[in-house]
Amino acid sequence: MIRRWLCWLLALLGALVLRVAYTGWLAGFILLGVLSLPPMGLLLSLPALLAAKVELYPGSPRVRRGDAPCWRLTTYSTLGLPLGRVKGWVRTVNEWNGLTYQAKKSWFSTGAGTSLDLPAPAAHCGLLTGKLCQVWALDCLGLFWLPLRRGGEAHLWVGPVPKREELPPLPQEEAPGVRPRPGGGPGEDYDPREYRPGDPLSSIHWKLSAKRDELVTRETLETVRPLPLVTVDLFGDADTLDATLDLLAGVSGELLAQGRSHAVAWASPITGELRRCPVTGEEDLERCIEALTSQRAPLTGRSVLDLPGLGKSLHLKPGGGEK
Amino acid sequence: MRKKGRLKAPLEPWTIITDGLLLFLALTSTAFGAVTAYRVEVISSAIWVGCMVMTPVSLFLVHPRKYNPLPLLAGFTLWGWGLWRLWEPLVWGGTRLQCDIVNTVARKIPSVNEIVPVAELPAELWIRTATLWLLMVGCIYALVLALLLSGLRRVFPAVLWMLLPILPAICVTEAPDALPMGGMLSVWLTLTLTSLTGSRDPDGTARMRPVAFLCTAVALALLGKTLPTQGTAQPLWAADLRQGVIDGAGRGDFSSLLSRWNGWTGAGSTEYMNLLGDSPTHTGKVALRVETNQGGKHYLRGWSADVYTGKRWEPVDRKAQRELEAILEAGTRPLLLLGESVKEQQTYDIGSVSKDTMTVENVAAPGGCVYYPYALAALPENAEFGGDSHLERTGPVWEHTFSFYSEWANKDIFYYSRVHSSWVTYGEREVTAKNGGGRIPPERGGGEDLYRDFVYTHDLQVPEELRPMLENWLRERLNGPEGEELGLPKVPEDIFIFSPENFVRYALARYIWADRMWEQWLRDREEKLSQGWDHDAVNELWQEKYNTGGPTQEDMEAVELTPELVKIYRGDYLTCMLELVKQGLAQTTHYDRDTPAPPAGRDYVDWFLNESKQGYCMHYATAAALLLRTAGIPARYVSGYVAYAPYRTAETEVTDHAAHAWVEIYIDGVGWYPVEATPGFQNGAMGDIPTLETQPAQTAAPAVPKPTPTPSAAPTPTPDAAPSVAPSAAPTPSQGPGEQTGPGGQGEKGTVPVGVWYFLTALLLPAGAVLGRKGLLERRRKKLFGEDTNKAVLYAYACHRSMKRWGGQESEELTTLAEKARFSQHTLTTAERDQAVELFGAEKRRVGGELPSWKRPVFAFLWGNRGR
Repeated sequence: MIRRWLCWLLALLGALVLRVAYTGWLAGFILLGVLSLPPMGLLLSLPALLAAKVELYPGSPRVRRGDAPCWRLTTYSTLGLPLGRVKGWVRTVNEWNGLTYQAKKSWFSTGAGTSLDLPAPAAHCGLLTGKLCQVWALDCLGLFWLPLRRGGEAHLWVGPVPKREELPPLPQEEAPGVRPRPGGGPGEDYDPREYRPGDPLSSIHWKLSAKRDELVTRETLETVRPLPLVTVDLFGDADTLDATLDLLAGVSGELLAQGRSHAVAWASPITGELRRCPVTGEEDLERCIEALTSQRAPLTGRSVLDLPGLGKSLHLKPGGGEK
Repeated sequence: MRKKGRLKAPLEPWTIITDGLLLFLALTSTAFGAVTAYRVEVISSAIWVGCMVMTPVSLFLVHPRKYNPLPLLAGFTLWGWGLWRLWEPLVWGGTRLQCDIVNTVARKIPSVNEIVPVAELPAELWIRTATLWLLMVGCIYALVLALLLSGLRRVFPAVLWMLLPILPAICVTEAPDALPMGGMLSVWLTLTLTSLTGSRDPDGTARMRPVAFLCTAVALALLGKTLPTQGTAQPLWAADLRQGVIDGAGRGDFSSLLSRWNGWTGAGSTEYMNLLGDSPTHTGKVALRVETNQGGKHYLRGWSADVYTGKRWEPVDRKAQRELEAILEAGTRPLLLLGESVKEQQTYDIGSVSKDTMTVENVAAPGGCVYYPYALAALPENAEFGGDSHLERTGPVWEHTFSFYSEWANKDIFYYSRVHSSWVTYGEREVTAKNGGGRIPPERGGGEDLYRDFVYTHDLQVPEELRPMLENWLRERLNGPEGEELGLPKVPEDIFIFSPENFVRYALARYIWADRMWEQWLRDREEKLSQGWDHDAVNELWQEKYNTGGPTQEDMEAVELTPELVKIYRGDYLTCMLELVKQGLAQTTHYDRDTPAPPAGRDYVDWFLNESKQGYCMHYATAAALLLRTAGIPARYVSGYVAYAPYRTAETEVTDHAAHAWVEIYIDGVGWYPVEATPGFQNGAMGDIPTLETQPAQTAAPAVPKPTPTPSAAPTPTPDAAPSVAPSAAPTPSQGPGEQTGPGGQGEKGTVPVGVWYFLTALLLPAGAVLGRKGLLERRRKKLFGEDTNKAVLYAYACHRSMKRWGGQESEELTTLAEKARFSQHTLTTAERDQAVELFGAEKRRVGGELPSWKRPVFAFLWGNRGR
């Protein structure tokens, strides 16, 4: 832009010199022509600027830490007018560890639209939220930066790199409990309860019903064994959090590989609220880690181990601190 | 990144079409620009057709569908074959064009001689050969232009390539005609405006170029309506700056020029004299340093101007200047004529002549001219005449010594022509020769007659729309108290006497009429008179008869007028008319230095004489010049300084307070003679100019002198007369750099043409409207989605209601929400706010869709075209 301004100033100087040195009518036209170039440039650029918009998309919505993810900047114009030089600032916030990154990109936008990639920071795990802070386009003479319309936020999830280590011993399972079997059916153990519309007739305990003078139904029970519990703490610096997540991904993956379902539990580092997530397959594990990384993790907070009534669990801590 | 250069991707058809249109415009405007700049006679239709053919062919050659050298080869072969077959006429055409180009340069540069082709061909053949040459060369030119414009898409090389054919003409200040030049400027501006994207996105740029071309063409057309499109047109500030630079370069000292930025503009004389502006301001700084052996009032002349435009005085046009140059080459020196005449007359009268000397040092006077006293005895060293309008220095010399005849104003110079006439008519040349050499120099012969014709052609011009008013003004003065005071007879409305010939004719007719009337009168009273001759009674009765009557048109026609008679009585006519004009101005107007500029669109003189009736020297000089021209006396506007030199002192400093304007009239055989038209400056008076003896300034109004029957611009022999008129004002705040030095030394503010403001307004208004709309929509969006949901709902309701004027209908849901927002103690939820906004958006879409098509853009502009 400075070069263009210099060119225009030189042209203006030349036109002024011509106006002074040259007595003919032409010099007046040339001087006014050069003077009117900036406003005319602005005027001509307005339709292109108003019809254009810049959107931000993730190159790939899910990546692993250490990959090379990117934001995709797309410029398009409903009128098909070229914008010329465009520059924008993309601000990326890691929602988990709170780290913020800002990157500037400059590109040339044609009338048919332009797409280009901007590297996204994937050094740490977490949900990345990208936003176009500012987008400016040069007018058609390249003298003024003018603001462009921009789209909303975009999200990109950076997952952990599972740390495959020898599986630590899981805590002993707790005593099994019973619960009503879904769908009912035959069984040795049952509990009587009041009749509810829809209960099959075969489940009605006629004898007891006669005695109580109201319909009583047998509700079949089944034995339930609780899932082994894996716990993690969600506070610390970014590297600690990454290591925790890597460990969790490794352990859970290994457990799943052995066909052992389990649950992951953590405490909200600020409120201390317990969150629990059963993991029975890869999808569950991904969903669990996504939920875990979607909230802000401070440097210090409340540990899940401090919560009462948690029971026995495998607590994962980077640096071999499993309990 | 894509490398700049020739495009590989095929272009869209629309791109090719816009490129073709632009190329066609560039070709035609360049061709006709060159033709009009060099004044080449060509067959215009052939040039049009040639450009139409060359445009698609060169585009085809520049953008082949696939690389194939055959079309290019075939094209060049065809062109070469044509060159071979038409070689001889092409040589003739080239010669013709060469002559035209050289002659264009020769018209501007005297040292270059005009040339003519040796071959003697019929004019028709020259035109054809020149056209043929242009077309053949145009083929290659068009190919290169197409390559730069559409192939390589290089803007600045293309602009330079278009400029190349007219560059020699531009260098000698000869411009093409307005239309082709406007076309070229439009193409240049279009290319410049689309230069950023042109090479990298040709298809997108092709959508912008028609709009850009349209905008630039409209802008230039608007400018063309307001600015001059031919000849010389330089604003005062530029002309002044130009002269300052030339002066500075010559002097080797730019301090005077640079000091303008500190506010010192050095009021004085300039070539172009702007009449529109505020009242004059002066700095009080020294402009000239004068040393003379002759004390008293001296007029130091700067520039004179011949053409009155209603807004300013300016020199004659280029054509007339060339005509004048040709006349002056014969040896006539109009600005020395007065001195020669004074010398001759003095020699004739008293047998000897005494010369005075004056040294004028230019300290900071503007205009680039040498300021000099009237009646020069000879051309000073280091100076030469710039036409008949000024004296210019020939080197970096800022002090000039003049030898002059200070007695010029004391002599009855108006009647010199009568004596001159007598010499010629009655052969008294020998007598004057005996008296001491008052012989007419032989060089004052044919050249002077030519110059006289030139003056009578150009210095009698009055805008036709002003002529009736000026004639009427003169007639009113003649038949009014001014004429009566001068002893002039009353003239009937149907008799026109405002020319020397008519004046003499009328005077003679009056004698004839008087004789006839006298005889008749005597016959009627023969009986009475025979009884006794009461001389007084007869005389009284006759005077009454004489003053109430006058000759008729028949009497006028009966007069046999000879040129000799006109020459003899011309001096009387000049005296009468000058006094009539001066006294008329003094009686009907008053001097006021703070007179504002006339309203836009009003003529300067018309406003001064009929409306404001107040003014300063510029008003008086301009009005007097036009009135004298109306009376058939060649007159022009002059500006310079009026200096008062105390007697026998070594040096006088002339400040810019002394800047002044006056009139010069042309007297046959005498030359240009200065006439003072401003009341307060006549005779020896100095108006409101402070003299050395009266500084520092006293405060008094400028004196309005009593009319005098003699020419007034006379150096006074006594020192007492001039200082009696007190100066009016102390030095006023200085002018800024944006202001210009006006005529007569009055600093005038620079005026920007009204069209420029229209042009800028036309540019800025749409931009302001678009930006304002954007701001409005953004404010609305913020209000609708602000944190306070209640306010947002109420605003959505208000917006919804304002849809009614566009045909909107009330929404019960929105009304309920608005009532809740207004009267409930609860805060509305975000969902409710969204619902209200959505209702408003839906209504907006509905209303927008149902509006007639001509209302839709306005509605979309005001309310946005999206749902929200």
